[in-house]
Formats: sequence, structure tokens, C-alpha cells
Amino acid sequence: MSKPDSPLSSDDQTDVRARGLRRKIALLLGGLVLCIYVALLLGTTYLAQRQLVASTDARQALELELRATALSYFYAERRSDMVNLGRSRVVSTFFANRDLGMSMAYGLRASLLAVRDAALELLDERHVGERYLYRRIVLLDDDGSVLADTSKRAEPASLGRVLPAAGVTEARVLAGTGDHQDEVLIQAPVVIQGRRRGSLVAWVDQQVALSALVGLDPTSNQADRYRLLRLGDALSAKEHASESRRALVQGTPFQLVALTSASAESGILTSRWLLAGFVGMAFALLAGGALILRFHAQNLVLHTRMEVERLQSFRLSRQNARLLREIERREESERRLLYQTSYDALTGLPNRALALDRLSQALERATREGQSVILLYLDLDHFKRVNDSLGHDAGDVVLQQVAERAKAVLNEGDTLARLAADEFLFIFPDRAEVGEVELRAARILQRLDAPFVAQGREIPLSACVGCAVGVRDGETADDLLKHADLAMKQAKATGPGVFRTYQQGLDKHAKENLEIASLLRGAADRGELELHFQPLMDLRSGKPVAAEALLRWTSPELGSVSPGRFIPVAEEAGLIRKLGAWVLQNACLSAAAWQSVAPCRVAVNVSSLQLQAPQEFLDCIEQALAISNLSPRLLELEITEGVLLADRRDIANLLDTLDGMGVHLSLDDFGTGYSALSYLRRFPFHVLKIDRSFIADVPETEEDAELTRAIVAMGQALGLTVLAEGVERAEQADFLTAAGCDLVQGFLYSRPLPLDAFTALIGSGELALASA
Amino acid sequence: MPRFFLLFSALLMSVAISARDLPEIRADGVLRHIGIPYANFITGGGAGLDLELIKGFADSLGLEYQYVPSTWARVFGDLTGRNAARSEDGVTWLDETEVRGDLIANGMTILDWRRQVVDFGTPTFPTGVWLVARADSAMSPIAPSGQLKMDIGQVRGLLAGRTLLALPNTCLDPGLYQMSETGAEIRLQPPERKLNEMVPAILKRDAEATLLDVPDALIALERWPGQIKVIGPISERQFMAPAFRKDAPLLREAFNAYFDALTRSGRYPEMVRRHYPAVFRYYEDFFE
Repeated sequence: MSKPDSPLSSDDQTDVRARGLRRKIALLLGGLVLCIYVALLLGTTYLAQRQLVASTDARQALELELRATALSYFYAERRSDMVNLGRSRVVSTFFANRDLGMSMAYGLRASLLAVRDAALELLDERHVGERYLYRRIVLLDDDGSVLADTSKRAEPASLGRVLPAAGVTEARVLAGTGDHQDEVLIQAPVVIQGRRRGSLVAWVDQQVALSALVGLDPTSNQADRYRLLRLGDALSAKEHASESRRALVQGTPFQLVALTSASAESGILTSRWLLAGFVGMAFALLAGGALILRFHAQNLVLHTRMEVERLQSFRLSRQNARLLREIERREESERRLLYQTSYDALTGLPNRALALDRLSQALERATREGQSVILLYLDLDHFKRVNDSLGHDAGDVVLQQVAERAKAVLNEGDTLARLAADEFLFIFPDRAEVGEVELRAARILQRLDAPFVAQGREIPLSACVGCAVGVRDGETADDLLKHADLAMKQAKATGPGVFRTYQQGLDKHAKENLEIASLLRGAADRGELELHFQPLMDLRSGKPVAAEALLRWTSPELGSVSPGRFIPVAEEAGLIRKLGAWVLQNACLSAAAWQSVAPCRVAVNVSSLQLQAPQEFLDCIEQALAISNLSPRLLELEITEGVLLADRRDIANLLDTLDGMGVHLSLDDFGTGYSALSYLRRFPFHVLKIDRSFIADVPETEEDAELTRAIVAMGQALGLTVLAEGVERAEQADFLTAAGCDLVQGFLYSRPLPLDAFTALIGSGELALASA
Repeated sequence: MPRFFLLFSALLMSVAISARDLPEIRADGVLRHIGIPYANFITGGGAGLDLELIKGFADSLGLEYQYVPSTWARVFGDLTGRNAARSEDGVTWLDETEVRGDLIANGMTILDWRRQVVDFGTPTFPTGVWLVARADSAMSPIAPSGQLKMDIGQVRGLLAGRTLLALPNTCLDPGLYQMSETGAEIRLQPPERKLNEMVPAILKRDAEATLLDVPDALIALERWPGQIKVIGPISERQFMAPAFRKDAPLLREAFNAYFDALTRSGRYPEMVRRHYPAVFRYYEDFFE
């Protein structure tokens, strides 16, 4: 029964008990198998013992025979040695020379020494290891006297006894002869031409022979196993007791006796001690098994704890594995996040942060190595129109294509990043020359020349590029980027598809812009803004039919600031809608004021930015009209055709609404942009305003004159009132009158005037065309 | 007086120019060894005891060795520039010839008449002359008396009426031993005959016996056992040595020094044992 705080479940405990039971059974079975094994071992050993005794007897008999045969061969070889020496040329030469009567003094001694040398050579040749088989070789004359002796010791008297008996012609082995009881001699008669002339006797070193051939070296462990016994001699009593068998050594007077018993060799394997050892080992194993069982029972608690530990360890390892997987998942997530924080998801290019980081590194390197970093800031021209007209999906496709094309100008180590919507940054580090800047920029712009394709439509796009060179134009990434941005903005101000390099002073210009924006923000509230009005004259009636409201700003800090300066700043700083609303409202109020003096419209310029929020703009107009109580028919809005390029439905609706309200719509600056007639037909314009650039050189410039005539004819053909602005000279007025133009505007008639002056002017009735 | 001095100087200079002793040989870089094939001193196959000995001598001097073959008739002319032969009263000087070598070494026996022609170096080999007969000769070997002179007398006493081979201008020159006085019929061999061809000649029955130097006799006894026998001595004990020009004492001294070192080191007996193993059995005392 498990305790409440036990870490094991009941299933786990059952599993542990079952495992303990299995171990007990396994041990009991092991003990049984061991008993059977010991019984089989004892039986097999008994049978093996009997066979071993028999085979040992046979082996020893064979060994004895082999050794006896080896000894026999050995002595046969020794006999051959002596026979061959006796038949050698030197021996026969000696006896021949002696037979010829040669004296020892003159030749015969040399022959005899040749015999001695041959014997010495034989003595040298016959050896086992470093020990010689022959101790001495002697040539005896037939009378027993020594003729030649390899030993320096002369023993003529004793050697006579080793002469072979008369008639003996065979070599033989002698043992225990005469004074040589302990010697073994080889005796060979020297027979020349059938007559015995002498004999050769060799002393054999018996010990060398026996140790080499039979293993009877006294120092070896087999020395006591054999005894070489001379025929006729008897063994000692002790040797006799241990004798097992004998063998005759053929061709010698010896027999070889084996002294050891057969059972002695196999005693180790078949002894009672061995059997007792086997039985004892079996009992020891059984006792060990029993002890293990006992210990096993005693250690059941320990086993259980170990099992708990094992299970806990298993669970822990599973948790660890899960934890590891989780860590990997998080690491992967962090990697992805890191990528997202460094790369632009749409184009796969480095983002602003990464670009700045790389720029910083490049600048550090450039500072250190005296190199330059070229930074190109690219901004697509009018990209917003793509988004506005074709939607963001198309815009994204275009951006991807821009990125792909721009990558083509990169080399290894260069960076292309996407900073914002349609802003890209090129970083060319480690440049020694900056002269290639224009070339690079031109190449980039060139790659954008071909139209982009999205949603099956071709989209022509250009871009402006601003360039700054580090470290020259900025030592920090932020500075350099800012300066490239400034250069780009300057390019933008110049026109589409323009490249500009940062020049000292651009910074100053930007600061001025900031100051202007800052001051402009509160200018209306401080009463620094003022509207001036310039009359639009009817060429036929010679009277003003409307006045264009022109914004003037006089700042206490900056003095008088021209609209050309502050309007772009206001657009850039997001002040244009507020400013536009102020202009609308005050223009309407002014127009309402002068209606009592002269009934003419007020024309207000509308920024394209104001139209981007059509509803807000409409609200603004309605509010102005409501506040001023001016009839919509007395309000004219001058809109540039650029606004219409986007072809937005809501803007078209706005224009329709305004037209429905009775507001006059005027197409401003006609001729400078696309000058598409389709706008004139699709949108409800009443007035077509020819840009002053056409009028400046008429009537002198025939081409401008022709264009002006054509515009006037075209406008009127479309039922529009045509107005020419910038009329400063009487010749221009005459030309326009002749051309049939409806309205004119310019210094020839009046400069823009403050409200009071304008009201006074139109009230005085002085304002009239000379021709009127 | 000045005229005499001039003459004396010119004479010295001419001697100096013609002399070729050790310094000149060193300058030339080549030691020229004059030899005649003879027994195992110089074999026909380009080997032999004296060839090995003089090659070793040239090596010890750091000189290139050059062998100059010669004959018994012109061997002294090749060394000294003038041929010479033995005569009854000593030396007969013969025609002048070109000097071709620096020393002679081919088992040349030191003889009195030769001493007048050349200077000998340290004796390198013992020798003597024996009378060797075919086995079937009626002459029997003498019974040694213990005294060499008496034994020589015994041998000479056996020669009357016997045919005997001899080789002029060599150690087997019969004139050296007054062989004509013995009553033997001396058959002189042509000069081109070599000493080791004497035994085959008597076996071919050109004569009954021949004079033979001891080293050759010992070799012959082993080569033709039972076919020849040594009757006894003809000469007293002799020695062989390399021969030098009389005006080359430095070369001779250099050889003596080299040979002394060779003997002391035990290398010379080894060389002899390779070429003449049997000589130790007869002249054991010389090499000890």
C-alpha cells in the first residue's frame, strides 16, 4: 500500500514488485543450471582422464623412438665424416707422396700438414651454436703412431689402443675404450687401393650431441627424463625404479632409457585437487547466489527508491527535452525577430536600422583608412500616385521591382537598404575616389527608366537621388544620412529624375525651412497673414469679373516671405490644409465684403494636398461659405491638373459636388503639365487658365503665340472661359484680344492689392480696360 | 771553375729530370706496377698475392694503381730504362728502352746479380729451388741429412745423365746453381714459358725432372698427387721481394714502412693464406 506522500503511483509499485520476483526466479534457475553443469563437468573430466593417460603413454613411446632415431642418425653422420676424410685427396696425397719416398723435410711434411688442416677444417665446420661436435681428430699410421693431430697435445702411447682390429674396414662408434672410458670415439680405417694404411679417430663431444638432438642437456628440465646407457651397463637403483621403457640406438653401443612415468604428465589435469576445485567452485557459486538472493531481499527498499529515482529521472529528462525544444523554438523566434528588425519584409533588403549600423561601420573604417563612403538616397517620384491609383498591392510589386533593379548596380560589400515606403539607400563603402558618384547615380536612374509592370499595366516611374560622401559631408551615420536626404529633397525640388550632391548650405536651407515652418504655424493667429487680390478682367466688358486671392506673409523675424518660399514649406510641414482653410475663409469673407461695392467672384488657389482629403476640403468650403455667407457662385477654385492625374474617384466626386453647389472650377497653369484635353471633358471646369510662361513672349514669339491661339480656340470650343495670366504689356493684351481670349490677369491691370486697396480700386471704378 | 760548376749543375738537373721517385709519382698520381704472371703471385686472371699487395700500397699512398705487364726478358728494362741479363761474371747490360713502371713485384727472387740492377725491398716471401721429378723417375728422394748443403750435394749427385728442365733469367736459371757441373742434360725452356708450366712439361715427358721453386712445387704436389715427387733441394733458402729503381729510395722506404705495418697488423699473413695456404706448412717460421 502506497503512502500518501510516495512519489510512485500504484502502477509503478506493481511494476517494481514484478521486477523483483522475476529476478528471484532468474537466480533460482541460474543455480539449477549451475548444478547440472558441475555434474556434467565431473563426468566428462573422468572420461577425459582415462583417454589422456593412454595417449600420454603412446606419445612418450613415440618420443623415445624419435630421440633414439635422432641419435642414431647423428652417429651415422659422424661415421660418414671420418670415412669421407679418409677418402679425401689430402690423405691420399700424403700416402702417395710417402709411397714415392718423399722425405718429410722436402715436401712430405707439407702433405701431412694439409691433412691436419683438412681435419681442423672439419672440426671447425661441425658445431652446434658455439660448441664443437669434435674435440679432436687424429690420423694414425697403420702401426698406431700419430701422423697428424688437431690437438697440440701428443699422446702417441695411448692412441695405439684405439686402432681398429685387423680386417676391420668399416667406421664404428666406440664407447669406454681403453683409457677413454668416458669418451665416445669414431673410428674409421684409411683404405687406399684396397690396403689399410692407417686410421682416423675422432673424439665426439657427447654432451653437445645430446643437448642438441635429444634434449639431454643437464641444464634443461628434460635432463632427468632420459638416460643414455652403454650396452651392458646397468641403471642405478633409483633410476631403475623410474624406468618406463628403453630403445636401442642403432649403429652405436648405446640404448636410450625413458625414466619418467606417464601419469606424472597428466597429473595436473586429472588430480583429485582439480576435481575438488571444480566441486568447490560450484558450491561457492551456489553460496554466492544464495547470498545475492538474501541481499536482494534486504535491499528491496533500496531498489524501490532507485526505481523512484529512475522514474523521476525519466520524467525529468522528458521535461528537459521539452524545455530544450522550447528554447530552440524561442531561439528561432528570436532569430526571426532579429531578421525582421534588420530586414525589410517586402523586399528582403536591409532596413533602416541595419543600414545605419552598416553605415556607421563603413564610416569608422573610412575614417581609419582614409577612404570615403558614398551614400545615395533614392526617392521615387510620385510613387504615392501608384498606391492611390492602383492600390497598395501594385505599389508593393513596383517596390520589389525597384529593389531588384537597384541591386544590379551593387558590388560585393555594397549595401542597398529600404528606408521607408519608396525611399532606398545605397551605401558604397571603401571608395578611394568619389568621382564616380555621378556615374553611379546615373546608372541607378537609368535602370529605372523602363516602365514597371503591375496588374498588367505599365507604370512609368522616375526617382530623385541625393548623394552625400562620408567622411567629407558627415562623420556620423545620422549626419550623413540627413545630408543625403537633404540632397535628395533638393533634387526633388528641382524636378523628377534629378540627381543632386549635398552641398554645404543645404543644411542651412533645411534649418530655414524648419524656422519658416515653425513661425508659419502660428502666423495666422498672430495676424501676420494677409490676402492680396488681383483682378481678373473681362476683355470684352473691360470690367473685373473676379479677383484672385494671393496669400502674403510678413513675419516680424523674417520680414516679408514670398509664397514661393513658404508654400512648399507649409506643404512639407503639413500646414497647408490649415493654411488653405484660413485662405478660403478669409477670401470668402473678403469677397462677401466687396459684393456691396462690385459684384465679382473671388478665385482661390487650391493645393493638391488639400484635395487629398476631399471630404475635409468640402467641409472646409462649406464652412467658409457659411461663415462668410458668400454665394458659392462667387467662389472660384483654381486647381492644377497634377491633382487629377491620380484619377481618383473621390476627387472626381468632390469636383462634381462643388460644381453642383455652383462653385466655379478653374484649371490652373494649363500648358505646363500634361495639358490633357480629357480632363477638360471629364471634369466640370468653367475656366481654363493659360500659364504665364506662354504669355510672357507673345506676341513676339510666334510659337508661343500659335500655342496660345490654339489653347484659346480649344478652350472656347469646349465651352470654357479662357483666361490668360501674367499680362504685363499692352501688346500682350492686344494679342489676346485678337486671339479671342475671354479674361486676362496681370500687372498691366493691377498688382495684387490688400483688401482695402482692392475694394477701393473696384469701388472707384478706375479699374477698367483701356479698350473698354 | 765556373764552367765546371755549370757542367755539374746540368748533370744534377738531368738526373733530377729523369728520376721518378715518390714525390714525382705523387705528383703524377699513378703508381705503375710491373709484373709477369707467375704462380699465385700474379695469376693470368688479374689476381694474385703481389697484385693485392701493391694495390694496397698504392691505396695507402692515395695513388691510382696501374698494372704494367712485362716478360722475364725485358722486366728490368721496363723498370730502369735498360735491359739486363745474368752473365757468368754478374750482369750483362743490354739495350736501352723506355721506362714503363715504378716497381716490379711478381714473386721475384732476390739474387746477387739482380741486386746490381735493382734495389729490393723487405723480403715478402720465402722460397728455394727443388728438384722435382716424375713419379716414375728412377731418381729417389734423398734421405735428409739435417744439413741443407749436404742435402743439396746429395741431389746434385743424382743428376748425372738425367734430363732436366730449366728457365734462364729466372730463379730457375741453371747458371745460378752451376747445374752444368752436375752432368745433367739441361733443357732450357723458351723465355715465354711460365714457371707454372714446368711440371706439366715433365708430365708430358719433355724431361725427367725440373728445377722448381718451393711455392710452385707445393702447389704442384697438391694438383698432381702421386704423379710427381720432390727429390731434394737445389738451392739454399731464398727470398722474394719487390724490386725498385736504385734512384727511387723514397719509394722503396715507403713500401718497407707499408709492409711492416701490414705484417704487424696480421693482414699480410691473411693475404698469404688466401693465395698460398700450403706455404705455412713449409715456411711456418717466416710468417710467425
